[in-house]
Amino acid sequence: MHEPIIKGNMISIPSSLEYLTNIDDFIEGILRGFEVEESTIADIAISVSELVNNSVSHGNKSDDGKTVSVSIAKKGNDIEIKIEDQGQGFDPRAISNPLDEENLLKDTGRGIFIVNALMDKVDVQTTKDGTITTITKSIV
Amino acid sequence: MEITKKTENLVTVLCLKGRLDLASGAGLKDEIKALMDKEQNLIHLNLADVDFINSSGLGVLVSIMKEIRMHKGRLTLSDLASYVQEIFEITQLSHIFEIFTSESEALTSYQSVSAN
Repeated sequence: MHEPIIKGNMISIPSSLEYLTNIDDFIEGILRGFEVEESTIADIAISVSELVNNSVSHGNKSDDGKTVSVSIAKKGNDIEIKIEDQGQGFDPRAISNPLDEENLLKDTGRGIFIVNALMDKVDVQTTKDGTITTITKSIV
Repeated sequence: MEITKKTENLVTVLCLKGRLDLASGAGLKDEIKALMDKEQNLIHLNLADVDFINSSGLGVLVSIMKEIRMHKGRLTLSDLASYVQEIFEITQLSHIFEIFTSESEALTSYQSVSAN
C-alpha cells in the first residue's frame, strides 16, 4: 500500500509519518460529524497522533510494507478509537515518567504520558499479528 | 509550518503558524540555529496560530530551549491556545518555559531585565 485507504470509519496508512495529517483530517472530520466539542476533538486528535506516531516508528519500525489502521466509533456517550499496527506492542505502565527530574528536559518520551492524561481509558492488546491500542473518551 | 520573523529591539520574534510536530519542527530548529550563529540569542515564539502540537513538537521546543540556554540566551513563549497550554501543563513544561499571555507582555519582560 502506498496511499491512505479509507473504508467507512477506518483509515489505513503505510508506515510513514508523512500520512499523520491524513489521519488527523479523517478523525477530526468524523468527530465533527458526531458534533463533538472542539476541545475534546483536540484531545482526541493529539492522542491519536501520539499513538500512530508510536505505531509507525516503534511498532512497525517505519517499514512501509506494513500498515497502521485507525478506526473510530461512537458507543453511547463514548468515542472509541482503535489503532492497529503489525508490531510487538508496548506496556504503557513500563513507560518512564516524563515528569521525573531526570526526564523533564528530554526531547522525547512524553507521547504515551499525554495519551494517558487526556483519555479516559487506554487499553493495549498484543497478538501474534500485531498490537491494537484502544482509547476511549467520554463526550458528555 | 509557516514562520514569520521580526525584530523588536534586540529580541527576535518568530510567529509560528500551522502544525508543530517533528517534521515541521526541523525548520524551526534550523532557524534557531542560524540565529544562534549570528549571536541573536534573545528569542520570542508567538504560538497564536499554532493549531496542532504533539509530543514531538514539545520535544522540538525543549531542544530549542536547550540550544538557546547553551548560547546564554533567553526563550519566551506567548499566545498559547487553551489546548496547547493544557499540554504544557500536563507535561509540566509550563514550569520550565517562560510563558506569557501576550507577545507585548513577553517583550516588556525583556526591557525589565535589561533595565535591571
